[in-house]
Amino acid sequence: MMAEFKRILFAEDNPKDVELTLTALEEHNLANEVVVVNDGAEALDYLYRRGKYALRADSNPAVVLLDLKMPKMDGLEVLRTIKADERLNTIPVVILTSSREEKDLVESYRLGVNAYVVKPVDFQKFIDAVKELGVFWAVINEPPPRSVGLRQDQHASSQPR
Amino acid sequence: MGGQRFNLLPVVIASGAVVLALDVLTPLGFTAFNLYVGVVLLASWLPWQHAALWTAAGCTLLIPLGALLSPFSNAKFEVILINRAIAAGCVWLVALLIIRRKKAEVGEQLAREARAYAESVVETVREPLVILDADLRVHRANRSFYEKFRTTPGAIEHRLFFELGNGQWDIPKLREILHAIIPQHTEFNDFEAEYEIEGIGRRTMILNGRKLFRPGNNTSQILVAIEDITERKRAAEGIARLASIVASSHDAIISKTLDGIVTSWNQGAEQLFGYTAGEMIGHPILILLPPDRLGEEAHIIASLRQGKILDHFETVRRNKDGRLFDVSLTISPIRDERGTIIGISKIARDITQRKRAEEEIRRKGEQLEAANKELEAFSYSVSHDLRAPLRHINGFAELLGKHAAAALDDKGRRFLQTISDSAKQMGALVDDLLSFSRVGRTEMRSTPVRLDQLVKDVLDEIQPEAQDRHIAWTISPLPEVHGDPPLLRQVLINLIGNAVKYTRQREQAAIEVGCLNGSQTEHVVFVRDNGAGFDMQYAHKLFGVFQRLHTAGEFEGTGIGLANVQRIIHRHGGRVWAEGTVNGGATFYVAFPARKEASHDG
Repeated sequence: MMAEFKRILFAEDNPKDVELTLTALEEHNLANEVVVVNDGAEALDYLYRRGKYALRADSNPAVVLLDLKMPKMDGLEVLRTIKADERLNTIPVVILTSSREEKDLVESYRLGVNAYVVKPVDFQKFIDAVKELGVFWAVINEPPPRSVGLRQDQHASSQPR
Repeated sequence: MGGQRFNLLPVVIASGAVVLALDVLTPLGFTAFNLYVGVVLLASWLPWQHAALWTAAGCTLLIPLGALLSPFSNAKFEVILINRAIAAGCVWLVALLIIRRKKAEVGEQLAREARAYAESVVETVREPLVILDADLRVHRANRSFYEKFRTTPGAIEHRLFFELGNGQWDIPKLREILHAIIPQHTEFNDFEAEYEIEGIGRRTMILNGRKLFRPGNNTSQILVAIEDITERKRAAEGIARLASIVASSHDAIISKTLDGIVTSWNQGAEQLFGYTAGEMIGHPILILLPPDRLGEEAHIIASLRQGKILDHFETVRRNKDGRLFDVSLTISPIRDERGTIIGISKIARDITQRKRAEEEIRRKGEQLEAANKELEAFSYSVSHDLRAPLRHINGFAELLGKHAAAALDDKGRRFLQTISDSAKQMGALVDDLLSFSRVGRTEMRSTPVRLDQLVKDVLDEIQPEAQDRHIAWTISPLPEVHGDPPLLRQVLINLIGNAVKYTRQREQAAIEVGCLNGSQTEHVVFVRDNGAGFDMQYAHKLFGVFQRLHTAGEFEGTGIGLANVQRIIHRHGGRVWAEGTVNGGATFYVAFPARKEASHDG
């Protein structure tokens, strides 16, 4: 069902945040580049092409936007899994959260997060933050090899573009 | 000299023989036998006490012998008998006189020796002795007396005993008993008196007195022996004091031999273990050990033999009723003067209560920790969950504004703006509350902090915001304190920021940062302004969370800044307070402990 690849994996359980975030990304026409998953487990399913993502195109996203507090598996766990797996650990991961807690910050950086962004309450600031994030990681930043369709693994599976 | 005397014996015998020869060979009328008296006199030099008598006896045999052997013995028998008898009588008389004289000499010699002996005893005795004549004047004293009382024979001899030492012995009771000694043949013992010796101080003495009879001239004297018992008394008092401490101690104080036989057992021990001293002294201490700890005793004794002290060794003991309880033991060796371990002293304290209290504290601590964890989880959830809806309200209000821009009039736009502003305001409150909670929870480092530098940094940060204001800054030299630099920076930002904020309505604002002098124990730093001030009757509310003395309309703010200041300073072991008058400015004081002893509250 998800045959086409997308550049941004966005893990967020709150539909309102999802809507606001997508609204922000729309302004730069990036909304179509976003795959939204609603918890950590689903995020890993996507990355490992399991469950309903088993048939998705075989490539890594250019960036993973992770909320910290999610049902089933929280953002830190997803981050830990990604950074511990050498097939995934080159994917840039950005924590996008409400938490300003020092221990979350410390733990995220310890696990190797690429950026940590606190969602501003002020909508305009929020829009700006998300837009900049989206543009930077999905457009400006040069992603590592093996992501976004550049992936060349030994199975050489079909890569519809 | 003895040999010379022995040589006298043949001389005496020879002289006897010569007299006998003369007596035999000379004619009558030459009464040579009278020369026997000379022989006896000569014999008086012999070393034996009764030599004169033995010689007299010998002469008595020779006197008639001479008459019998003499060829000239033609006189009348009666005449011869009388002459010879008179001669013998003379010999015996002389012998007896000699013996008497000798006896007297020996007596005198003995008396001299006895006196010398007594003298040397008196001089050698280490106690001061003084001999008084019957009129209670000092006859003489011994060397020890002169040394002890720092006096000389010249100063005391022939003076009344009661005059000595400026009359210090002039005690009515002592007078009475001294006066009674000779007439009533009494003696006295252990009369205690204080005596001040110049240059030494007050000493406690005991006096003993008895009558001395002087046979020589039939007079009586009094011997007074004085003993300085100051040290002994002091030691005795010390021992008595210690003994009463031991006796009255609530701790069990026990001594035992190295074989574990109890040698002393105080009241505390009776109460703690339930056994009386009578039941325990002389019995093995093992009875107090629970069966599973019997091995402990051997271990204790072994380590004490190596001279170790067991300090606050916590274990379990059993009382008479068989109840087990927690004790803390302090066990140390008892040594004799040479340092040999001769026993063991043991102080036992019932720590059941303490153990219970410790357990209680530990439990409370756990509860507190759990509560803290809960609180942490709570604020984490506040941090995360409370801000999300605010963001949504704000976001969707904006989106609505855009979406329905055409349909909205000014009023509608204002309503939307109010919704957004309120959400932002609440977001600020949540953030402040979280920062307050963080101040209490974050770990604190303590390093030397130069407040001068910190104030400079804070001013650099604040001053741009107050660019278009007229503020006269007075910054005095500030001390170095110990603390956590980021937290102290937050304190200064709050206090100086407040000063800037609350002087906003002043044409010419004046802000002063300085330090009070005069306290050894703390450094007091203050921030003073000439701004809006406050009413002192509300001073206690200043440092409360969300407490404000001004409306948001007058001065914006969430009411968390000073609460943070107080919390941070309390965590540093310091204190904060403020003085102010309405429209007369305010001064905020922060006191840091002078030494690095910041407390670490939760």
